[in-house]
Amino acid sequence: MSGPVLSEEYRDTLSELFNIGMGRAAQSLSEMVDEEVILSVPSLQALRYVEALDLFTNVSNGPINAVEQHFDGRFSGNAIIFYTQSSSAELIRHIVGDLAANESFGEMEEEALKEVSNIILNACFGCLAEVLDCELKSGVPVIITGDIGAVLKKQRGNSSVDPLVLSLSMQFSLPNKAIEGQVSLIMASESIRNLVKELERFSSLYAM
Amino acid sequence: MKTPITTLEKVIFDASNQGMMIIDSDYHIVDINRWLVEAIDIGKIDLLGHSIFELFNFEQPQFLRRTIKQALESGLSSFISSTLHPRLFPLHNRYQNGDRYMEQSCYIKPIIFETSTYCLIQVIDVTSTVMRERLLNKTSIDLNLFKIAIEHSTSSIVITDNAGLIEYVNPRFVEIAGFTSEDAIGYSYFSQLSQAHEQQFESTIMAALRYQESWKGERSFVTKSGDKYWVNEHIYQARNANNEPTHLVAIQDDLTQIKDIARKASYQASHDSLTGLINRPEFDQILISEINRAGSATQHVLCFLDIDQFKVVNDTSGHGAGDELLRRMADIFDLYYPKDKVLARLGGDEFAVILHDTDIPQAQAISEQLIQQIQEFRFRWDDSVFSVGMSIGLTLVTAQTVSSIEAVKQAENACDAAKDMGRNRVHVYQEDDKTITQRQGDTYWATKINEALEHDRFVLYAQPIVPLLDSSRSSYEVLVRMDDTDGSVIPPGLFLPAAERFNLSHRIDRWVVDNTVSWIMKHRQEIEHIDHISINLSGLTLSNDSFLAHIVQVIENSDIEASKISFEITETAAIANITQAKHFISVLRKQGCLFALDDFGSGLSSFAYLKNLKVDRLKIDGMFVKDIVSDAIDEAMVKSINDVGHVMGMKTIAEFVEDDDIKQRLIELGVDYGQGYGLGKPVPIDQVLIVNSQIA
Repeated sequence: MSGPVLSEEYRDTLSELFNIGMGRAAQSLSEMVDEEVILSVPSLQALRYVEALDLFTNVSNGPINAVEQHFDGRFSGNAIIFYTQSSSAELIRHIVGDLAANESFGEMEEEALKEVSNIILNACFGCLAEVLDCELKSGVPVIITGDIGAVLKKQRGNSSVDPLVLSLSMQFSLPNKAIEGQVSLIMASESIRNLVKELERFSSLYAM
Repeated sequence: MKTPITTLEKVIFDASNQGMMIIDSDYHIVDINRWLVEAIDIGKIDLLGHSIFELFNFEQPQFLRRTIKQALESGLSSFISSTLHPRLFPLHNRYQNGDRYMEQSCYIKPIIFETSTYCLIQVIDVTSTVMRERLLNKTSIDLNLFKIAIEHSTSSIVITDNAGLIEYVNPRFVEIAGFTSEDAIGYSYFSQLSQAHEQQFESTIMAALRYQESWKGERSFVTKSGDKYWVNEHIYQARNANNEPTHLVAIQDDLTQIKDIARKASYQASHDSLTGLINRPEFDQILISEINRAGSATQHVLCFLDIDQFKVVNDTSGHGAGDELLRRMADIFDLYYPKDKVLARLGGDEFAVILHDTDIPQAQAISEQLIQQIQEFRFRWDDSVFSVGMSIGLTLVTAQTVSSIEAVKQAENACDAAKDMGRNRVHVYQEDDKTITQRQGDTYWATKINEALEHDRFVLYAQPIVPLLDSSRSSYEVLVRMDDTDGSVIPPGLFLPAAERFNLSHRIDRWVVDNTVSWIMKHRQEIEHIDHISINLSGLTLSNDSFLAHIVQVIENSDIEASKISFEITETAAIANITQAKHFISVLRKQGCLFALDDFGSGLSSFAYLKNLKVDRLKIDGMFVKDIVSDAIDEAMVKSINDVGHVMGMKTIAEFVEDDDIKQRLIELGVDYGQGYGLGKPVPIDQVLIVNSQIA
């Protein structure tokens, strides 16, 4: 593929869609924890796999906690939402409360992280499917921990030859805390093409 | 109702060890596996075909409904954690007492069978995980608290493996021992940190721990910089579930500090807080052991020291001054006596010294020299200057000494005798010493003075007071002596202090007054060339009202000029009884008598007192006069006393005028009168007449 993977116009559209999804996720989370949660997607990038790897390594070098969910439909791939270990601990501490009194991140915390991430990803998938009016199913969330490079390498092994990465940085705003997370949709180039097609279709509808 | 599950899958469905439930778009249960039926504990028939929202009372039904809808309508799978949704379904875990609700995680997945979409709800029992996590969490909170306790403990704490290799040291250990964690961890607690001779403890401790849970004892360690310190140590053995020893926990309490405190406490118990010298109980202990240790050739001398001016300083300048005087005296004694002496403050102004391997003549010489040194010492407080005197009693300490109490008593009696004999002297205790033994019988002097009064054995002496600046008339100071039964004359220094002690001084004073007045009457014609006769009065007399009345009467009856009589009172006595002194002086001055303030400058010499005492003459203490030629300070003192006296309209008299040089200097300074051996020795009073008739 030469030139940008996604035109600026489509990138904006996708950003908008994800923001809507995040808004829904935030609403669900707010209800759940009985506290205001705001989620936003300040930026979205489409990257080649190696570029994404570089970017992530720069953003957070070291061990991470990630939740992976497969999605399948007109376009398919793996969505990964990941956090540095300290920000995931902080996030869960804020959402769950007193449970994790120390730095340790146990199974209960992992489960909570899995559920929160699942809500976010499902909201995004749901929004994409609804707005683009296409079918998009998702599998069950799986927790992955380890070094960012190792996590993404495993993803690469699972996907096609030259996967592309839609990368969104995401921000949780809790009443007195802002926590960063990263959402990546890793898709084969064919899937990306299908996504672009869907976006074109959506835009033409919108243009009319 | 049609179940989407075929026969084989149905078998697997029921064999699964997690809960599974299939619901349709109306949330009705289409099928449910055996595991879940058992956990719900309602018959399967009662579950099938019913909506889950009718069957169960969910805490957040909206949330669950939305999640299921997402699966059914959008094909999205969800996860519901036990953390954020505890006990979603009211399930019981029949393996755990039955009454405990099951902690569960659920997956909500869309499944498509033929043309219909169903929702599969998978329930996983995570009770044991939740319990474990809770326990872990509690444990970690506890651990955190213990960590805070250990890290802030004032005891040093060291944890080692069972072989004694250090695994942990707390900050207090680092602080005391100087080894950091890095220095200590991995090294042997027994060999690296202890002194070589302490290493034997390892086998002792390990042996003890084989039979008991802990070992405790005192032992020393060395800091990283090599300093030795003592600890009270407890070592506990930690064992695992199989009762095998795994670790040693050593807790050390620093004994160096405690020992310091104990040392301080014992120091305080054995020392006088004012002077820092040892106190009486400690001195007694030392003396007892000296006596017990004494061999046939051992000979020590016990000195009992009493400071004469202490009371005056204390009464006139306050306790602060008295305390300071005692401290200064203690310093002087400490410096003066040899290093191996034992010096103690017994109480008040009494001190004691043990001089080792010393005989009486040596001790006497040492003591006399000390008295001389003290006499030259001037104690200054604010604007007062005091001269200090002292009396010393000596006694031998040998193997024959009966007891420490007896030894101290002997020295104290000797000291009292020294005081009785006029102070500023040394007296040696002797068992056949009549002075002391009779004094111990307590009425020797009382009897002696009473006898002398009864048999009129006192005699009057007189010493001239000579004008230095002009050729006006001389005066005479009358002095009292006692004729002893053996014909010798006892000087006043011997019996006057005793008279004061036994409250007999006013009787002597009365004798002197009566006899002096009679003498003047008798020789009225022969003493016209004498300006006046001066009579000494003791301090106690000043406060004796009947004595005052007696004097007034005697003078009125005598028909002599009152101005022929002057009274001398010492500055110290006047100030100690200032109110009475003022009254005494004012009554007799109205009669026409003169007054002189004796020994001025020796006591406290606050000139301010002079304003309160209306006297005619000021007698400058001989202490300042005798060295006036060589000592600039003494000269300045004399000059200033002289000047102040003149400003206040008093005539000044210098005592101790021993030679012409002194006389000359006094003339230069403008002192009005002089008295002393250089001008005239005391002579029996009748000789005054002869001398005068000779002059005439």
